[in-house]
Amino acid sequence: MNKEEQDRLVKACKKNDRDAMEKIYNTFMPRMLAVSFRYCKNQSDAKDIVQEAFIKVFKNIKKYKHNGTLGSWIERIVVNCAIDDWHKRKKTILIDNSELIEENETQELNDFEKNHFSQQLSADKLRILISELPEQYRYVLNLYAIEGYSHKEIGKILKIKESTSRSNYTRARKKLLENMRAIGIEKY
Amino acid sequence: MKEDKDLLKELLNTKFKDDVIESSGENFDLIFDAVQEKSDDKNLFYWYTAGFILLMIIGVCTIYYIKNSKTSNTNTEITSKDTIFDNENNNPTTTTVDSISVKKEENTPIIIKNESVEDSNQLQEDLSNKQIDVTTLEPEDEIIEKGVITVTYTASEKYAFTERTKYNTLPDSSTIVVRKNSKVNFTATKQGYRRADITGTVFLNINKDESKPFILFGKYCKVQITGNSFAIHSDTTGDLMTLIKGSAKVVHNNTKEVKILSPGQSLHINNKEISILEKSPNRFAWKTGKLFYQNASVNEIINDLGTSYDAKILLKSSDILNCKYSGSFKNKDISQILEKLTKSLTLELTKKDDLYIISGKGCNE
Repeated sequence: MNKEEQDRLVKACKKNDRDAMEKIYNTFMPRMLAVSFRYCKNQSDAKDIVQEAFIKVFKNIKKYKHNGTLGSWIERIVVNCAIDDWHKRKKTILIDNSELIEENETQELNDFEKNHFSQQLSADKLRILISELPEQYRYVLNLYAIEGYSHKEIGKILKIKESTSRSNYTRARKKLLENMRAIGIEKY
Repeated sequence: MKEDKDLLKELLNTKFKDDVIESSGENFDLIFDAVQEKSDDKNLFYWYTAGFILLMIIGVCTIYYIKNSKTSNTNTEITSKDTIFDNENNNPTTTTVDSISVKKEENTPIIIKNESVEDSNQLQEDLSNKQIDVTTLEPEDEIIEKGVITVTYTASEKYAFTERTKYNTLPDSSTIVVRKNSKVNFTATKQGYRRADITGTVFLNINKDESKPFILFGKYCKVQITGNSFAIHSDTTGDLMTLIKGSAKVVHNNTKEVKILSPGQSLHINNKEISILEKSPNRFAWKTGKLFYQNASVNEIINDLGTSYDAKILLKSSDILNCKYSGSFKNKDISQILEKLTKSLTLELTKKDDLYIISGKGCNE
């Protein structure tokens, strides 16, 4: 969908045009589901978040100022909805001491491994591995590594300490790496 | 764990950059319905807002209208008076017609405002030109308008001893003496005359000002007095008055009967008529110095002496009260009066401090 088409659809959405809304929904839904799924344990939860996000998108379509692409605007809303969902459920933070002890034993990912995983590990599989992480690790990992927020910002968003975000990311990273390697071995 | 080069981060970004999940069976209807709900809410909100604004406008208009109509009414009153004043010398019967026509003209608020200024100026002029007279005082002239300050002088039983007699100076420099349990409301009216509403016994010495007549309002009459000394008593049973000096014009409230008083003359006014008294009422003895009795009981005389002179009199026998006395006292002080009284009734008078003691054989009825 080119920019002109997007702008036309947004304009129509602002006039409450159902067809335009549906078209935007159908266009961006698969991408948004993928974004949402990174934050959830299962697809059903991810769909709920996406649905909530699209309701927000169309309710607030008049606020869309055409700064950046429509896709990134919607994506931001999806991430915000995921964060809202996290706050609603107010998860308790679990700290596993054994992980801390093992921290130094985990080997850093090297270029060879990275290339290997890039080719062999599908996004779906990787997503499943992420979904298996403890919820707060999952959120911190997503927000830091993919959405590009700083630990300070994550601290404010999730209402946790900056240092907690930092350590959560380290642990999430370590755990994910271990799981990736476990799968990788199986694959060889 | 070292973070010299976050290869995992790079990997994740590459993997999820354009990641999509194809999903079937998505129901857009739910989303659209939810959005419409919001739109409906929004519409309702707009309607509520519009309704609220409309109500506010109606409210403001109503207040504006009420305020204006009040102004109009005031203007009407003023203009009506104008008309009355103008017509008094010509043809009073056309007053009503004129005032109605004036009311009709007052329906345009903007013009009213300008007119009202002119009208009030005109009114002031007319008031100053108009000679207020008690005989031609119209009911509307008797209205004490809002904002006019009334000064009230009251005297209770306790604070009205003759010894403590207080000469009050009215705002117009007239002096008044308010006797026991009496009250005067003094108002400099907007209509241009001085007004005093009397309850009880009051003595007045009026500061002469022909442009501002002084009118006393009693229970059954109105009295216009000029530059003189005047005594009036007003209660529910009637009005009593004595003119000591100057001139006074009395108008009966109900019968509209007019009496011109000459100095020394006294009147009694009840709800039906004005009657001339031969003698000044003993009630005014404090001012007139005159007491007249015709076969009056000692009881009555002692009451009068108490009222006018605050005399403290002790009777040794209650039979004394039944004795009758005829005669008069003129410009006598209390001891002279009592001496004369006891002498003629063959009683004994003694004095102890300020207490007069009368003893002797009384009279059996």
